[in-house]
Amino acid sequence: MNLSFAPLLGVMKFEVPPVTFTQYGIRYYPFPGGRMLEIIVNWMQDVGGFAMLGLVFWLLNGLMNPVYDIVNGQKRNRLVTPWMLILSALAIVFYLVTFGLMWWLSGMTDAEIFLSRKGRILSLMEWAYEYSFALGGFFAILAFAGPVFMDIPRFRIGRIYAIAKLSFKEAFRRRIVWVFLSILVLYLFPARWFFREKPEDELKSIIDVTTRGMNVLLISVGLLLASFSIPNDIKSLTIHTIVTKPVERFELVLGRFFGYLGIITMALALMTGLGLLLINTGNLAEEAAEESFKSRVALYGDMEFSSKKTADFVGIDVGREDVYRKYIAGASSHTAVWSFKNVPDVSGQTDPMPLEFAFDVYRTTKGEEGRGVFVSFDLMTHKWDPSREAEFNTAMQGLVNVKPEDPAKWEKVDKVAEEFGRYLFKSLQIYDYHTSSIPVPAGLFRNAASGDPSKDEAIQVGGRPLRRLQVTVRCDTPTQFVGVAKYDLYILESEGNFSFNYFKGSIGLWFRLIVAIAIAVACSTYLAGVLSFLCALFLFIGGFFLEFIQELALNLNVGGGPFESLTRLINKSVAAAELDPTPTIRAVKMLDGGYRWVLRRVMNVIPNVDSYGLSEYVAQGFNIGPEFLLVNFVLLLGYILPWLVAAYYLMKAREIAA
Amino acid sequence: MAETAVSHSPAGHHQSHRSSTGDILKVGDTLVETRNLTKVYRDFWGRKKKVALNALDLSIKKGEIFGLLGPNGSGKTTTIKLLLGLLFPTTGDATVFGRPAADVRKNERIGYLPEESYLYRFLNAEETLDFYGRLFDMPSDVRKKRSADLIRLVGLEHDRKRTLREYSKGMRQRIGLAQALINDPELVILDEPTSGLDPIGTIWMKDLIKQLRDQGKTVLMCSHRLDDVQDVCDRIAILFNGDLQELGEVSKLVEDAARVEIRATNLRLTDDLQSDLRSVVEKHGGKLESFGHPTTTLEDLFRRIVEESKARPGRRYLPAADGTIKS
Ligand SMILES: Nc1ncnc2c1ncn2[C@@H]1O[C@H](COP(=O)(O)OP(=O)(O)OP(=O)(O)O)[C@@H](O)[C@H]1O
Ligand SMILES: [Mg+2]
Repeated sequence: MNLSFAPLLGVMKFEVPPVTFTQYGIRYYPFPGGRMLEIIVNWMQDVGGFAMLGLVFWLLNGLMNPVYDIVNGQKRNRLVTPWMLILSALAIVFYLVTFGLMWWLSGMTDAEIFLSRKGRILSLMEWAYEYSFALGGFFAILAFAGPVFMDIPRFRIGRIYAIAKLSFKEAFRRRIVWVFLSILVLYLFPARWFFREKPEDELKSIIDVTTRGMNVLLISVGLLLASFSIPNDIKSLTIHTIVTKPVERFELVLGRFFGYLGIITMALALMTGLGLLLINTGNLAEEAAEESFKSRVALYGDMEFSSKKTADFVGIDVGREDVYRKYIAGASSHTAVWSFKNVPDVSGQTDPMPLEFAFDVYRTTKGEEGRGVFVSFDLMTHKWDPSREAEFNTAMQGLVNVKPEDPAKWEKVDKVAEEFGRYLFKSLQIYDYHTSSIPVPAGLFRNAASGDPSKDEAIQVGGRPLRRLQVTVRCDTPTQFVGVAKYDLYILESEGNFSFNYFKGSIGLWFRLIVAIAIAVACSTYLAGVLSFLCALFLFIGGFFLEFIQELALNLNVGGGPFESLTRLINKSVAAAELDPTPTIRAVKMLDGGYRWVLRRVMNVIPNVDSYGLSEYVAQGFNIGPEFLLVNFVLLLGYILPWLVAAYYLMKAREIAA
Repeated sequence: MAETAVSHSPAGHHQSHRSSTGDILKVGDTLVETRNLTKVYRDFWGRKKKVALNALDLSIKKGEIFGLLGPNGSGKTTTIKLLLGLLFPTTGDATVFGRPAADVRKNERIGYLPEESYLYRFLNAEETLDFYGRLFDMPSDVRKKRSADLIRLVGLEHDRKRTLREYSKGMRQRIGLAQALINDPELVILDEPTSGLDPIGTIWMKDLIKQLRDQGKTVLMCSHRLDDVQDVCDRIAILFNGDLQELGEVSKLVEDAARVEIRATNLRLTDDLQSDLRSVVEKHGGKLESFGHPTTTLEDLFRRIVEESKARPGRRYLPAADGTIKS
């Protein structure tokens, strides 16, 4: 398989959030609940910020241009309910607390923070900061989204269905659906006719072409339909006969959303079915079937820490206890060891098998953002004999870190691995949460597979009995820490059902379509058709470059962000020097914090559509985990809900006939 | 076609909706009320473009036909849109059934025919009515019966399977009216109901509006066709340039108490008769202004021709320009 593709597979793991919005956050949260809680807290902080913003606008407008209802003889402002005010006040209280804590924390230098991380007070303050921030967000969300939920009992499935059905009819009667069928004709031709590649790549090409076609076609049609629907209703004035019926305006939004989602889902189902039919009945080259007609699964091992100097070493706590990852220090005797009871069956296979991993990097030295640290891998099977160490080193002379792309040398590596039961990969540069992989020679697995490890228990390395395969990871860069957890490293192996996997790949595309249609419908409640199309398209395409954009935004922060840089410029101080925490500097740091925060929030508006690009797995023959789909779906809901709430307000505040 | 009754004993379904949106009103209760209702159209930057409606105070009572009258651009449609929540007032407020105009729940009891029928042109008449019926959350059997009745009422039985795209202006106005009545509304708001209709259609529409009143419904209509308004409305408001100019009962407003009209038949207007008449009028202290033979109106002629054509379909024999008769 193509190893350069391997990093993409990292998002496959359930345990590492495939959506990276925590990636650039403050890392060492005290989240005893693990990652999911971290995600929820983050979500409340982020979405809460947007809700607060919307709330401020809404309240200002509502208080300045009040609309009164007379309820029981008393005047009541319809736009600003008492509940909204109470919850906003609560949100503001928590935001003020957050602000105070931020002020307190900004008085500490990074070194102080690091040194006193274990100190209870600091941890408590950080804990309080995160949670008061999240609670502020929570109340802002309640205040802003509350009216939407209060309206829900008035929504009628029948009405939403009627509008969805109308959208369906429209698409059919206006012959929009024929577009889908016309493109299917293209798929009827064998991909071989267009791509003269290696035969084993045939299926990959087919999947690649069909999914690319489906992506472009479905997303563009979905975006077009969804962004023009409500503006068209407004332009052609048909909306006048709808909103003068007892239709809540949001019902119109939901009806359109579900209608177009339905059309596109049908088209997707049709295309997926047809694609499967073609692939399963078509005469594929045998090599292609061998290569791609499968869905491999990740194989996990058990992890423990070990250190020559410290018995019972359990990893370093850089933050608090209960955090998901523990750390090993760079250039020390610390190691993290994964042991595998079983290894993949590689009989008759010469291709290397990827060992994948994604670790966390914790820096104690500043200014190296974006640079990785170096880690080394030491793989040994239960048959490795420590007394042959010298012999092995001689055999590996000139073969360390050889790549499979160099077949002559790789063959030697494979032989050595099979003979000794050991394989080394040295000083690989890794990045934060970035999935990478090293190729493991098939010979090593053959060696590991033979014999019975329980009988070899006498042979011990580092004082522990060997499993069939053991992977030892070290950090080579001094003063840096690498955080690891059980599921951070795995071997890709095994097979599942291809067709089912193909179907799951389509679900990834379906997630993308949901995002596309939701954004487009939400935009179209305020913008004209063309504008909302462009807007949604822009956001959506931005999603494919999300990591790039994030990196770009982050690089603006060298020297501590724009405000700190400015202060440094004025004070003529160098970027490396830590500034004294005078009130001015603290204020400046907080401004920068605010700036970074806003920047991160702005980036949250961009959908992480890249993480739904699952067809790559299918094409490469890798299984898509169902939990992974589920988590992605939850994250998807977390993404589109704020859009829908925004749509609710934009639609409600809109003067239809103006 | 106007023979069909407008309402068929309303299904219980509507009744339940009605009670959920408010109490049953009696004739004479206020249904629609505006206080100081003002609308200023602004452009994107908030600059004032046009004061379309200026401090309108109005109240419409249950059971009356209320006409909004005024020349083009006087603010009639603006008033209606404000009442329906399609526009938000700049100042002042409007309530319908005691609810604020922006509350969609009031729409349960309202039927609205827009200035032009803005309907989905890819639907046919049946589908259109079914769609709007669903928006009222009506159960399917009620929907079916109601839409069949309404299609009969507006005389579109033969065209019910054709998409609205193929409809003429008058046909669209008819289906537009049908959709406005789908929920058997208590308040019917009609914006230029007779626009696009031929004289027969206009008469039909006017009869229908009167029938609606006879069923106890309230009608708010606007028009700039004075004869229409005069024929059907109980009360009118005359708008000019956004300002209310006149408000009152039609009969009182147009009655000319200083003049008397006499019509007689089987008489020729001879000199004798003229001088007799003059002397009688002068004896009673009046002054004879004019007399003569009445002409029939073009409307009557049009009506007669249509009636005859219905009785004898086919081409009518018309005299050619040179006076000869061709077949
Ligand atoms: N969306 C709008 N933006 C700006 N001005 C508007 C808008 N709609 C209406 N107007 C202006 O408001 C005034 C009142 O318009 P309105 O449509 O209420 O008149 P109308 O009495 O219904 O006229 P007509 O008999 O022609 O239907 C007009 O001068 C019109 O130009
Ligand atoms: Mg008008």
